[in-house]
Amino acid sequence: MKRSEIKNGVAELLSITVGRPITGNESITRESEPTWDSLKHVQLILMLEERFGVQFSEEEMAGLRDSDEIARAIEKKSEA
Amino acid sequence: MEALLLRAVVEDDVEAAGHGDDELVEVFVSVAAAFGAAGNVVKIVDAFDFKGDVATAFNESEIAARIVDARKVQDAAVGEAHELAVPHWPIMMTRAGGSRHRKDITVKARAEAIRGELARRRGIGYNREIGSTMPLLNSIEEEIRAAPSVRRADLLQLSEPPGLREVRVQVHRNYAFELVGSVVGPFLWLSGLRPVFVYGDYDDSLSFSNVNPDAVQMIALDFDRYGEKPGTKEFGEWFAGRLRNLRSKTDKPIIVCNWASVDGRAEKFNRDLERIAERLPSAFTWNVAGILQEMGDRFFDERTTVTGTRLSNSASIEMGRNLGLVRLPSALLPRIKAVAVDLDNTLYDGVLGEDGASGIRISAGHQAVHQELLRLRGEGVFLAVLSKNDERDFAELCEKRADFQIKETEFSARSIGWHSKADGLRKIAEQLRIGTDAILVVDDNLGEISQLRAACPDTPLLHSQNPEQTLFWLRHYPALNGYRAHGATALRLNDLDASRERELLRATTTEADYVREMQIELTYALNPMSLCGRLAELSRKTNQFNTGLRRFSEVEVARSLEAPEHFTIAIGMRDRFCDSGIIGAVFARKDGDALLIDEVAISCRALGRTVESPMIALALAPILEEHRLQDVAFRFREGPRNLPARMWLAAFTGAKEINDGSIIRISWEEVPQREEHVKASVTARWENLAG
Repeated sequence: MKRSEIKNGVAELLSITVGRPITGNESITRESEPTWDSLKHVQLILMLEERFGVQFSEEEMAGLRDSDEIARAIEKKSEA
Repeated sequence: MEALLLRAVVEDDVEAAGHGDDELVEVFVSVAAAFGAAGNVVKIVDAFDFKGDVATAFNESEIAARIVDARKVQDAAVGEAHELAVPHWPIMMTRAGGSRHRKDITVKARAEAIRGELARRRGIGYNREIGSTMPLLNSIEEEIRAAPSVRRADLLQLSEPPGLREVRVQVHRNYAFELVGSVVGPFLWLSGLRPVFVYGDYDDSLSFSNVNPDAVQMIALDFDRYGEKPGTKEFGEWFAGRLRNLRSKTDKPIIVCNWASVDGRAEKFNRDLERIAERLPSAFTWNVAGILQEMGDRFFDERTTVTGTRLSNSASIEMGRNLGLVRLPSALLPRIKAVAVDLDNTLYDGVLGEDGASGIRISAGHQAVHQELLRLRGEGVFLAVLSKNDERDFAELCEKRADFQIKETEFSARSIGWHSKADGLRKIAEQLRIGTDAILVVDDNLGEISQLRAACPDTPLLHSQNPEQTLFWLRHYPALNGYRAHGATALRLNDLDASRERELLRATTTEADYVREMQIELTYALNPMSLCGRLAELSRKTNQFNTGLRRFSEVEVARSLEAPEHFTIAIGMRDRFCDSGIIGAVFARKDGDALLIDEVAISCRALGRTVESPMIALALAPILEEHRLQDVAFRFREGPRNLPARMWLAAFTGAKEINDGSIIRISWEEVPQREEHVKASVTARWENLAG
């Protein structure tokens, strides 16, 4: 899967998560988005797994804190 | 790894469990510890400390899984069916995959299309109100809701339609139910309801210390957390006690998840739980174990440290779908009473008038639909045919095609001809003596569906494009499934057939002979707790013959059944044609030297036999005599359809004027024709059904 596809997919799911449009080029973090709370975070992880067919460990789930990190993690898992 | 805070989410209007009541519970001396720590047993000194031992993914200050909406439609939760207007039912559009009409579009492609469309709308500030009326959007939305593996992201992008009623659901739980609660909305919206979930702390002890009496109550427990205890008698008694305690705090429905586990004791526990719930008014079990059975290994996900639940994403979604489409609607809404099905391209492929009985094609999928319809019939739902066809062709189909699995006689009503479907629907409603809003119409023709929608806006509709989707929606259509069966539902089918024979008798006899020849037997039971549910149903559902329109909930009926100097009478009726079951209810109480009758409710199935006055006189006479009461006083409330009750009350009491809200009081001695009523040609007996 291309990096741009991953970034756009992540952005789409982040849009649902934070409740506003996010573009693939935009970087956001949990700290910068007050609506990105822990329930939303768990939901985001589950949606990412649905969308990209990957699975995160508990450590990874807790550690993913921004859009770039998420995109990189999916890219890495997709390559594996 | 980030250390996630071990705190439960506390919703703003429900405080942490802090002051439990007396039944709290020695059984909680030891409880299996938090998720992810199997085998680790925590000693609980104070049940309230327990909440601190439960792991959760959510941060202390966060409000989870709450669908926030500034609009306050109703302050209270929707808890009684009568308070609800029948929702404007959605048209269930079905999936295009496999359909005759849109074979070129795959489900996957359409799902992609909706994602793109929803993303586009987010970007341009999409107007939900306009969008909700777009048929294409509805079509795709229904595909998403019915998909075998529906995706969380797709659900969370669906647009909430306008005009929904808020229903508060207070969840008492010991795990993160938020992942279920967050996807219930898109399903419950189809019932015209918008859920607002209210979460307290995790509480294995079920302290119920801050019950919101206006909210539907849900108990969602992971029973595996209780270790060895759930299989014990002690635990069962404790749990039943906690349910009774919760029941005493609110009149709203209580929904209890059963034990979804591979543990062998779960099956017996769930049977016992069913019995416990049946004994409590307006308490329902939710068969989560059934969802586990269908999903198998996919049900669990042990990454509990972060998610706070052993439910997998798929299981959470499936539970949300079941809760939103089946469990909550069946606890809150009156049941759909009939399913009227089209024939061509709905119960088979082909056109009967052109292909003939031998030419139409009945697939295994169609046969599954037939079986599903028969299952519903077995639960007391009428089946009807609503088709533009020729009666003779239909008769030939039923006669010649063994693979058409529904017998002609199993359709309780029919409208087969060339008039409009709306007219046909009204005809069926008349035959079944129910409203058009209580009939689900299943039809493959979108044009017909649209016309019905315009002519009968309150009628629930299901657009059938292929058997698989039709089957799904027959199993999941809101207010059609999930109801507790009782005797009255099965008797209703027989009664309808008998009514035709009664009409024939009536046409050929005088009125006096008619009553005599019917050989009517009336059975009375005073304060019968075992009939609590049926009595509440009569109060809530009867429209034509209901004097008080009090719409008593099951909990209110249970209360009056036990209250001193209250007389709640169940009336059963049978005649030479059939047993109609419990068809009448009288809710009365002592008021000085009068018997104050809050409500008389008689099922429309019992009307037309001209015995309403004897029926009520025979119910009241022994109570008046035993308690030496001089007067009878009837409360009257006017509704849109209870003119028959008003006319009866005027005739029974001799009152010339009966206004909305008035109490008609009269000396029993002065009731016109009192003697004739109690000496009518009917047999009456009292039974002890107090259990």
